[in-house]
Amino acid sequence: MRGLRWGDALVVVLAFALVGSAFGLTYGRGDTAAELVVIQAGAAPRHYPLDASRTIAIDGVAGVTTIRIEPGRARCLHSPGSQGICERAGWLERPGDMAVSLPNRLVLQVQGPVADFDSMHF
Amino acid sequence: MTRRPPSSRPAAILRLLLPVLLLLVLSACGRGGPDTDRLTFQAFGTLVDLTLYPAGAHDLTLIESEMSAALGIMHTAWHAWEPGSLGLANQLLANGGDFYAPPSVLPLIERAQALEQLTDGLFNPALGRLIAGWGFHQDEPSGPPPPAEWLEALLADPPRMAHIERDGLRMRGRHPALQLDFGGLAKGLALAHSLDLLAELGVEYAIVNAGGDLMTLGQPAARPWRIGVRDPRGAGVLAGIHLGAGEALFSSGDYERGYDWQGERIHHVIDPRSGRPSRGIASATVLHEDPALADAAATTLMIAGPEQWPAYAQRLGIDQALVVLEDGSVELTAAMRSRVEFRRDLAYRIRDTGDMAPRETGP
Repeated sequence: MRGLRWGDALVVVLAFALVGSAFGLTYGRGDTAAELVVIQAGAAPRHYPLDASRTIAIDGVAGVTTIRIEPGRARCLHSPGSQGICERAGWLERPGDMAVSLPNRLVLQVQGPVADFDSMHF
Repeated sequence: MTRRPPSSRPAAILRLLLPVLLLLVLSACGRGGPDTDRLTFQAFGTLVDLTLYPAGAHDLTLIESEMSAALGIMHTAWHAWEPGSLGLANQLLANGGDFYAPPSVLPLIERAQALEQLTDGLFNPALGRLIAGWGFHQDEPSGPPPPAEWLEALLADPPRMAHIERDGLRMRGRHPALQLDFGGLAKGLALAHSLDLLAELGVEYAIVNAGGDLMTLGQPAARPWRIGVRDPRGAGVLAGIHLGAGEALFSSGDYERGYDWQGERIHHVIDPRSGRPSRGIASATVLHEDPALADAAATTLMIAGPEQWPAYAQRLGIDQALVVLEDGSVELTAAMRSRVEFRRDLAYRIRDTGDMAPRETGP
């Protein structure tokens, strides 16, 4: 059997590239938020991809929480409660960023392709 | 042993390498959904968020129903201003006569008496009247703050836990202004009971998170629990921390409950020394296996302030603590530094518990 030819080397390079990109796409976290997770009392967590601009409304016990979604980020536009805690959190852009609206019993959190945390302490 | 001709080695390596790479590609594609279930519901006056491992192994409806019922009973019994066992005990304590302590409240009183003594009165649940005076005994806290003369009179001879005389199950209040508020202790005990209940329901691995304070039950064999610690001054993550079995993480912060009064932020952690909201520390975080101690210690360290928090941590037997000062800088114990992974570049300072002065600065 003869030694490697240039075609063999190309196959090896392509194979490594395929493996690397597969892991990158599947497990890659980076600093980019991929989806918004809405955790609300009495409901299963809801996932919204951060792929296009839109506004969503979440009904809660104290009223409506309005959320603005843009590519790669989301923010609480308005939520019931006199202190404006949810709104003051600002844009949620990095995986793990979160905003809380206790009057409406909900937590908004953005995360990467894989959730970084099992639970958030605050 | 025959020696292969040199020209065949690369080809042999290639034959070995390609199947390995193929397996790696398949393993990368094999990731399914999350390995945990989430269950979120309203209880104990806050949002309770359960993380259960492994996914798909539990009766979520049963768990939610049982947990809600148990936390509801504790919430009613220990509520600081709504009618319940604690409200009844407060009425009887104020009357000054002998009475039998409600069984649900007795463990809190006993624990609070020990903690108040240990902290020289910095942690003082007998000062419920002071908390009420600042407008925090209502669902939406509001001003005005109490008048200076009122504060002065209350703090001239403040009620303490030692003013509750106990003789077995009988007790008597020895101070007319004594009013119990277990805001810095009840959630810790509630989490401890919640974990017992989950274990009775057959759950082996879980995190119970009540309004941000949490405790773990067991630890999955495959990996530690991954917890994000939120920055008290924003929406981001300050640090990540891996927890093992039976560890509780509690924080007390100026961002939790409060209101603005004439440009000043009035928060719910009141310093018994000044009678005013504590100053200097924005949040105090404590990691310990006893959730009630972690709860009370977080409040105590925040009240103690930037100079004295390590000394109070030592008194309470806490060696894993982190505080964020009002200017956003971070101080923590060496033991806590070895546990957390900061998620952004920040200046932090290691403090020895027991030391009154800063020791080391990094990075």
